[in-house]
Amino acid sequence: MMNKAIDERLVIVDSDNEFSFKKNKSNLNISFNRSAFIFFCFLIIVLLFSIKVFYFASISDKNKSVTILNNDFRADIIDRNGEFLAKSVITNNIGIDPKLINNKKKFLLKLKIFFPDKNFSDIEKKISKKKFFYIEKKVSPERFEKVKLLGEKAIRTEKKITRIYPQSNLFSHVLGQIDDDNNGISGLEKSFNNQLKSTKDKLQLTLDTNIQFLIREELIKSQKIFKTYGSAAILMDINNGEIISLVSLPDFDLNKREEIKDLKFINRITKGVYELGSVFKTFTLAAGLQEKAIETDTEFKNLPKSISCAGNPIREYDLNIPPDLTVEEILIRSGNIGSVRIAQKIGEEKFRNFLKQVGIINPIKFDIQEVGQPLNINWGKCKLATAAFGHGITTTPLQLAKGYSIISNGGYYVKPTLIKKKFYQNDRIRVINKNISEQINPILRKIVSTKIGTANLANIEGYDVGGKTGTAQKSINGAYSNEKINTFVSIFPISNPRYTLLVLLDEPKINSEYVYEYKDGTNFKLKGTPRNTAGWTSVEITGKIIEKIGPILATKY
Amino acid sequence: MKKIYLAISIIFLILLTNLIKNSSKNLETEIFDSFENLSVLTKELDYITLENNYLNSPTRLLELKKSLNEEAYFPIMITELKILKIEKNQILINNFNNDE
Repeated sequence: MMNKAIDERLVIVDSDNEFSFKKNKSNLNISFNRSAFIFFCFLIIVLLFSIKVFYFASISDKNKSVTILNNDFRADIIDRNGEFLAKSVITNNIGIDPKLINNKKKFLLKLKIFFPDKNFSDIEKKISKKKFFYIEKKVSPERFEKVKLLGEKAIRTEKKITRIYPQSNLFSHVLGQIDDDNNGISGLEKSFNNQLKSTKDKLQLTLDTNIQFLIREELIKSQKIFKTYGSAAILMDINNGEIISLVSLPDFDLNKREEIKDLKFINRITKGVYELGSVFKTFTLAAGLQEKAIETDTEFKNLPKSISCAGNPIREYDLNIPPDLTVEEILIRSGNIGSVRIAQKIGEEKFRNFLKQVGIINPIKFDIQEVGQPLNINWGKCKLATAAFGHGITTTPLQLAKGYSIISNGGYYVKPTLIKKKFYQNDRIRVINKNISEQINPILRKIVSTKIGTANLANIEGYDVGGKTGTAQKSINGAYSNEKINTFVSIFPISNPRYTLLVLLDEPKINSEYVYEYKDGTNFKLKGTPRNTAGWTSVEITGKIIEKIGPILATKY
Repeated sequence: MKKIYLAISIIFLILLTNLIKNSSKNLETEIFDSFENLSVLTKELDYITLENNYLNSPTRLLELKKSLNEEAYFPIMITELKILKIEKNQILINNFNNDE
């Protein structure tokens, strides 16, 4: 019954929609063709894509050398005038693969013609070991092409990216070194490693090659004159903290890529932590003025030549120093006891806070990682007394230069930097009172310009130099030695301060043959170093440096 | 008729797209070539600058000074420096330090 009903329904549909049924059948055929067509297209696309993939896979080997070059890439470093300090260049190396030598005698003969200066007994030994070795690296392109023309299979030529330092030793402590894997291991090469490897933009520094060279030359001369163990100098823009020159001797040739372990080679400006002596007295005086504990004409009467603190004596260096001194005279004559009295008037906490404000005793953040940290101080009455004249308190020469810059530039904060900025913000932050510079700068000038001052040898005509000397006993393994650290921090021109120059001599000795020329207009000459103090060593070198770099600074900047 | 218009407009648009694509491709090629040329020239400039740096380096200049008449070259005294200014058709010569 049911089947019959279905049959009847089927018959009705079949008869009523015959045309429609045929259409449906036809549609089914077209749909299949379409699917086949789409599938075919898809197949072709997949085929083309696969061919391309195989093609890229096949050419990737050819481009392998290019990939290696990209991994070796490192952006160039330039000075403030665009001169190259570090550059990556493609160099040509020539090596020998002994396994590919057919006729050893003929091969050696060819080599002797081409490399007459080489040690051939060594080369023969290396050939007999049957291992690849380089016969010459960094070959000139012309020579490289000639070697290729020899047509020897055993001679392998290769191009490689090499980091070169055109100024060799001149910026060794600043630039630092890289390892064989193209990673920076010291200096700016380390601290800016990621930037140098990821961008093609050159890294521009604030340093000036010509000024750096002149300062280094004078320090080398000083090494010969005063037989120093080491020496260092930093020249900084007093207003924006740009470091124009940073030299530390001894230095090393960056192109040789030697492993430096000797502590003698540290960067004395940033890493060296020293007791720097009387140069701290300027901070004592500035702190007194900041806290309004003293005025420059405040007089201290009946100052003794010696006092004692916890059984330890504190003496004047110059026993002829008068007992009655104004604050100004204390700094000019570099009085120890007077400085102690000023610090006692200020008080420990205020003095400590002031030193922190000018960045002397707290760790400094700098563009290179080789930075020393001032030693912790257990403050107390005696520590306050000794710190007042720069003993028992340590800092780095970099921080000392920063502190003097803040004191002399109107009290504005400066951040020493090696990296040239395109723009400087005008909103400078004042960290100490403005009138401190106005009061201290004339005193610093008198230290250089008056006969009672300790830095007359730096009184170079036309540069209006001011500054403060510091002579300290060198501390070796926690104990004071007879060796000295002689420092002179100068500011010039003091009437409108622009530069801070610090010169440090590590373990200078007196020279009985050296002739000093007085700078007071008398043309008086003195043979032999009278005393091993900063006034007769660092100040003399500072004078020589300013004479040389002064015209460049005056006309170029 | 409508279908013909539609087909013509589609064909026209396809052709237009092709034309624009081709011209942009040409532009892209030109830009690429310019960049390539620029990078070659930049490299060349860098090497010339490097050579110039070497030839003008203070070390080399001092060597030259020694080989030439050394006495003819001496440091300039700042007190001898003058500044020349032209103001209102008048030439003014000031001392370097006074001007500062």
